[in-house]
Amino acid sequence: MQMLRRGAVIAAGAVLLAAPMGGAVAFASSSAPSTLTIGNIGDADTLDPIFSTSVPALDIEQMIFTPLYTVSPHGRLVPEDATHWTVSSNNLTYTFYLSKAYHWSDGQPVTAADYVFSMDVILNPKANAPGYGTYQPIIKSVTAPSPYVLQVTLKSPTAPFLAGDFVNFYPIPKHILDKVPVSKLATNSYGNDPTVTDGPYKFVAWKHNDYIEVTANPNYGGPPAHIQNIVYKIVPDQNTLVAELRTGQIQFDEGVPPQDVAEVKKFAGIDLKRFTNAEYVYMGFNFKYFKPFDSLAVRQAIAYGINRKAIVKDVVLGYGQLANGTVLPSVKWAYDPNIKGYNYHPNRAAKLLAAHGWKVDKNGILAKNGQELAFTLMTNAGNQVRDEIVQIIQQELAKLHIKVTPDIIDFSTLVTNYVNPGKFQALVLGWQLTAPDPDVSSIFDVTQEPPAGLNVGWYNDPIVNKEDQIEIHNLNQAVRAKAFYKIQEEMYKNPPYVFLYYAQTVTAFTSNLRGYVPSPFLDFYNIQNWSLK
Amino acid sequence: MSAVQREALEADRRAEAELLAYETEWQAVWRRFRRHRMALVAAVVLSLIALSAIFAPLIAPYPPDHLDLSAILASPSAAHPLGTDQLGRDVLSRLLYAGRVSLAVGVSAAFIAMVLGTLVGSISGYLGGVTDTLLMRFVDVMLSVPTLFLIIDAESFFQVNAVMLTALIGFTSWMGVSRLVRGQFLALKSREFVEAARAEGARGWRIVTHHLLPNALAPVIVNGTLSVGVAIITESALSFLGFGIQPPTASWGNMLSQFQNVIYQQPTLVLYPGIMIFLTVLCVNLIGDGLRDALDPRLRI
Amino acid sequence: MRRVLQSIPTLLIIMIATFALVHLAPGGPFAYLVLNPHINRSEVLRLEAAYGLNLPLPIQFIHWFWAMVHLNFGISFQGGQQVATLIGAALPNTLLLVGISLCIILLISFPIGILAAVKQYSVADYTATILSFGGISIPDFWLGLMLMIVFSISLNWLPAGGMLTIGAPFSIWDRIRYLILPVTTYVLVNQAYFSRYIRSSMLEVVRQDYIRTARSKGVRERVVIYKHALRNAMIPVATIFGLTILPSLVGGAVILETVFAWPGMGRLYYQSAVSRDYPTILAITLIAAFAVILGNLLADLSYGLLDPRVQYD
Repeated sequence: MQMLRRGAVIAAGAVLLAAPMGGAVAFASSSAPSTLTIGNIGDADTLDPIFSTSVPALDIEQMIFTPLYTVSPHGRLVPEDATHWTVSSNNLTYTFYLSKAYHWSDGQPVTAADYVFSMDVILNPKANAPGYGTYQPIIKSVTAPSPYVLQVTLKSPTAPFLAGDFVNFYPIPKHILDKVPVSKLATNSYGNDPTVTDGPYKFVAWKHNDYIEVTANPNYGGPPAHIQNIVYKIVPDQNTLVAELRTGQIQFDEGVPPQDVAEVKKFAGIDLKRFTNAEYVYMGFNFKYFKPFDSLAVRQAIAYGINRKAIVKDVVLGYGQLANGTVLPSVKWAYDPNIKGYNYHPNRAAKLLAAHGWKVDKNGILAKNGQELAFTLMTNAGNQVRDEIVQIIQQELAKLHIKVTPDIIDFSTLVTNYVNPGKFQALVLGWQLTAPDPDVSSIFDVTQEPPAGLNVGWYNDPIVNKEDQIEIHNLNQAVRAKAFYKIQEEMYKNPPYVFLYYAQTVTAFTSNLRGYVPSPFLDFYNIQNWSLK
Repeated sequence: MSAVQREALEADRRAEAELLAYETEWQAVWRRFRRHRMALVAAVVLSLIALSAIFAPLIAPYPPDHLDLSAILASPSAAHPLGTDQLGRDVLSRLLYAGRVSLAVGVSAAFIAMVLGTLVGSISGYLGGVTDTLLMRFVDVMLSVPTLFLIIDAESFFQVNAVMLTALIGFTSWMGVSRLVRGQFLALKSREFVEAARAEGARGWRIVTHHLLPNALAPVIVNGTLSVGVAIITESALSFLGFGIQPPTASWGNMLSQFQNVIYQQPTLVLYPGIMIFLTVLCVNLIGDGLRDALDPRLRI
Repeated sequence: MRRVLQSIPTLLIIMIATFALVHLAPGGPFAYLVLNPHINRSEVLRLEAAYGLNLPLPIQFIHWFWAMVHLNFGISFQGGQQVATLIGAALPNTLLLVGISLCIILLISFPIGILAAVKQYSVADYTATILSFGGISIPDFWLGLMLMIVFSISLNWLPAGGMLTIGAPFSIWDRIRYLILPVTTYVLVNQAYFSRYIRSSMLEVVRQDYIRTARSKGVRERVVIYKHALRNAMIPVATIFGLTILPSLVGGAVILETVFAWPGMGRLYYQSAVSRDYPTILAITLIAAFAVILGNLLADLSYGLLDPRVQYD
């Protein structure tokens, strides 16, 4: 399963393992259609936003809850329940002023007390909320000075807080749940049928592994939703999903695989939209478990030896954009448009290796001081795109006499036994970002090495380490931008990864749909504004 | 005398005539096998498939993992008779090499299942009593444990390749054979010829190997051929679920699930591994059927 | 009776074996959490402790065993749902799909098997053989997809996946439309196991002495076949049915359920397996084990009913 809560996550992307793709549609009825049926390959875990971790849950929560503020497709923060907010001069206290318009679907007002309650639950270790590890290290206190004012005080100035961790924070209703012992909240029936919510839609039914149904909430504080009913149908097979688009059983598919796009284009009454997602795919080096990667020349030669353009063209059929670093091009203030990348140059790669003393040994593999350039390249099973990338890299590097052994294994095994402990030689995976803040210190900073951290490749670069501290603790965007420029440049000079490409997503939906704007951060951004003609 | 009776007598008479002709047992089997025309055809087809797999390195126009990114998903042509796959590899070449893997998986897994099943079934059937009870309850256990987990568990110890997968399929599919052999043994044990052998002083092991096993072997062989097909299908199903043989090694199963992903782009591709699996498993099953008829000692028509 | 008592230790061993297998599997239920850069590893250890996963395995087993004795299946690690709720939702769907398929299989495989046996090497036999083996030789996910492409995508006659038209009032016809493709696939792929078994059992019995005797006594062919032969041929058939029917009914069909978006037990099991949702996997395995044991038991008992000569001691 894929974690998509806040910040960046590895995109599992496996057809059966994770659920990054989905869709929606309306029932074919003679009059104005009143239902949109969305198809998705995975089911939600729980619909309680404090405890959910799956992509489908996040999709439904966008419909049935209202956050303090959300994020636009361009990465701007957009007020929702909070009309505006201020930051104290010491950069520690955030004050959110709440709208009085929002009510729970049972008529009770949504107040700051609900947010305080929700955050208290997360910060209570007895609750076992997955957000505990996110917020506990940075939040000092959350209080409600008055019913419609919420104050969040941090332990130290943390720049990525507002546009990172705290984006799309959904409250749960205190008056419904405060009698439940905190240790029982995770398994409370609220996660199964959240009847009291505050979003544009309200919960109707959840048939596990079958569908989730919501209907427009007449008590919604914002502009009322146009589409009366939304059905979120779980269709675990990608081919079946396409077939259901054809039969009209679903009218929205959040992610048509590139190889099916041509077919879906032929379907009458279906439109498609293409956009660059907040996800990039990379080949990661492990500096601890394959020593030759310490050599810059080896990494550069590998980067020059991989035909990234061919990968984009042939594996994802052009539905990708070459990536040269960790910052998304859409985050304009931090993205360095002049950052260079490593383009396909096998001759340069071969020369580089020869110049650094690598010679072909009796096994036909490059070697130096008895160490062969032979490593295992891992990825998760069931994801055809990654399978193919691994096989291309194997073949390309074989031409340079570098021996790559593919090892394609079950996602959970890969993550627990190899990725988390940082015990692998090289791997192909993807990171998906769900918030616009470009902070990625948790992946590359020296303080984040396993077992505690996510710097699983044991990358250690003094410049990156230094700039990380600047961008985390300084709230000034200009200062941060400078730091991010330096980080991007350093990651080109001393690459932790071979950055491959940013993924592009194609959504397919009924031509009747109006008001839909694709967003890399939220699958159903502004769904209350969608309508069916 | 009804027609049926006459036929029965006829059959008996012919059987006697054959016995008089000193036809050996295997000649008789072959003669009866030939009567099953479809089995005969199947044997020929399967031999061709097996030969093509064995001689894949000689026949295949390209190495199986030779990439050509300039010609992905190409339609059939003189250079690529069956076209190319998503990475521009020659589909015909991969299909031939995949045949080696799939056939090896099928045959080896079935062999493991037959040997294990026969062993457990013989011991259980011959010794009976507590041993029988224990072994048969063990069969129940094996039928109940989640086999998918055996594969996942194996991943923590080995890189799960074709050999491992074959062993795993074999070790989780012997239970049917063991019940079959046990049943045969139970039925044969009290037959006159076994009693006679025992009266002549034959002891345990000899009775098993000389008297019980040969007579119980027919259903085992039949079941064995059928398990070849089941193993090939199982491998393809595991590939569909993401637990099969992983690329770049090609098997018909993983080619089938790989080509399903491009079914709308190049719909004919999925037919090739599909047809190979279908033909192979069909032939194996028909041969098994022919063997069943041929080995049935009462069947002398 | 002794046979019934034997089931208890068998079940215990199955529980131990399954528990060990599942817990020794690499990966863990909270693997995905660590992929969030803002959650560190100590968080996973904390969660594992909260769910008792840090205790020694034997202790965990005893906890689980005790809960099972009280028929408490526990709570899923994926979202805190009651496992009983998840199974309660999936089991009826699987019973419907597999139950209908098996009924059809039984209805058609008896005539096919008997006909093929009685008229061995006739055109009818050959046709039955080709049809049966044809079905058994096709991977079900392939056949399912082919049918879907023809009947849903090209012809647009039948729905591709799901169980019913969501939101539409209940109608038998609607349910049938959704059942046609998965049931057809299931029947085509699985009927051979049954019809071939019936054929070979019948062939064996038909040639036995007492059948010949019955024939020579002038008993009518029909009576010979249906009264004497079939009854005896049923013994091995009952074994194979006992071994397959009950477990298939509760175990579901993971691949067909995936291809046809059918929310049944097979899919629930597969998803729990990939996400290492221990309580759900264990509960499903245990239910399946129950079915295996019960099926075998019924098969053994049925011998006595079908053939009075067999006595179970």
